[in-house]
Amino acid sequence: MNLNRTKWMYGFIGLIAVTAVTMVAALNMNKLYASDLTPSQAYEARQVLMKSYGKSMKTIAGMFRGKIEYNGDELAKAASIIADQAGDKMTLTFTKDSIIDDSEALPIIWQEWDNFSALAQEVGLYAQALALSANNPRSDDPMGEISMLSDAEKKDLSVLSGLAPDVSFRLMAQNCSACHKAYRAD
Amino acid sequence: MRPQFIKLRLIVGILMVLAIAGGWFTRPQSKDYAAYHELIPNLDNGAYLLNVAGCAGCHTAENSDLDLAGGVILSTKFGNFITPNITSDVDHGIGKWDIVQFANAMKQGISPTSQHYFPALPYQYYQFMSDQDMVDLYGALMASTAHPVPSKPNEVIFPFSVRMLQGGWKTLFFEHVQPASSTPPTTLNQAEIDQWQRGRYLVNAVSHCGACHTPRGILGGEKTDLYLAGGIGMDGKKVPSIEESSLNQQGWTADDIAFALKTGILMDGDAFGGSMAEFVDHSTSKLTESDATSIGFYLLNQSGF
Repeated sequence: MNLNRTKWMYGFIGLIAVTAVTMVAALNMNKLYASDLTPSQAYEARQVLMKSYGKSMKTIAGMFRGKIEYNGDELAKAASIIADQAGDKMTLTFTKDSIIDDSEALPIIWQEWDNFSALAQEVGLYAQALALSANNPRSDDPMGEISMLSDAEKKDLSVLSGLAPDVSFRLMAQNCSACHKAYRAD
Repeated sequence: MRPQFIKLRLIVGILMVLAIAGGWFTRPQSKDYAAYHELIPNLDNGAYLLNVAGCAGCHTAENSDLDLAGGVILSTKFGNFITPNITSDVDHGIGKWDIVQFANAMKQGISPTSQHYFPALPYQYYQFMSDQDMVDLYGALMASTAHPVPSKPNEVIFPFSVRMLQGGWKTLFFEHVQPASSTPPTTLNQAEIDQWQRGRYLVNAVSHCGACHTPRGILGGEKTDLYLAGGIGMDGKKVPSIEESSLNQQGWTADDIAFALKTGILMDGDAFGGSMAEFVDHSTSKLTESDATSIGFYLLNQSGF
């Protein structure tokens, strides 16, 4: 009986703890990603996200460029950080009217929202593919390999994750440039 | 007749004479590139140059499958230049051109019908391309798939739309001497000199970097004393300096530059935007590793002695 009571007590405490952690996490996520962010909150969240992207990309590019020793596991970690913040998590930081301070976001983002959202999703796909393929054999001609892929294959995680990491990296780099070209004031 | 009408007629008459004289002195004068007929085109190199020289990027509309069929809009303060069809199509492309006409277009900015081209075609840079490269490029274009797509007319504002005025523009701004030093630094060994020369050729001729990275004056002529110094581009956007001093100051290495040209990713993890992103996509990403590194090496060692 005492044993059952102890079990129940621990179970109850555990339940409360898990609920509390989940609520705190949810509140924090809301703080960053809720769509009802004020313009300045959205701008700040965007800055945080882009800085995080830049940091991860610097590590990734450093490995592909040969400046840092290539390490598949470290590469996968950096790519996962990008993947985790892509898609909706990114687009939710682009609330309307959040072009404030020295924001480089262009108003055309909201006129071409579908295309912008697609690019935000796509960067997640490529980052995920990069993380999954990080320990695959490298390629000397990733652009050649990309030119052999169909449009559908370029968006297929199972295909990309089986190829050289250089392929996903190049696709991700193209995605970054395409987004900056269209939607960032330079 | 009233004296003021006589005066007006006199002024108009003088202006007309001046205009005719100006048009005559600045008329398109083709050059004889007949020796090019003797050269055999290397189509692989020509196909490479189609990308590296920017032909494919500038003459293929975004998301179009019609390679080289034109339709790209280059927006400037003078209006919109719409790139023409340069496929081998005989009616709408350049399929009827011979190599001499092609070389005059590329190196002198003169059309087969003896009209001046607008400098949106960077003939100021292409004039320095080698004879063999010019023939290779021509060969690749003649071997390209013909797309029967009519070219669209430019939307250039008056009076800049008057092609005859381009003769005056050429007199003022079409330099036949490169602003870049032709002497490599004396500290380089032979292998480095070869790399420097290749980089110099790509930067100042084929890839025409200065067309965007050199500030332009009110009439669109390049300020050659500020060659590669950056500024505001023809599309009104900021263009960075790629002078040796700027790049060295920012800590670039030849490999960093090569990597950025190949991938569009900068050394701090940022990605190119603007027209450079487009140029990377269509042109510099197709560079060989060796050429990309040569460009980087040259840019960091431009000055020579």
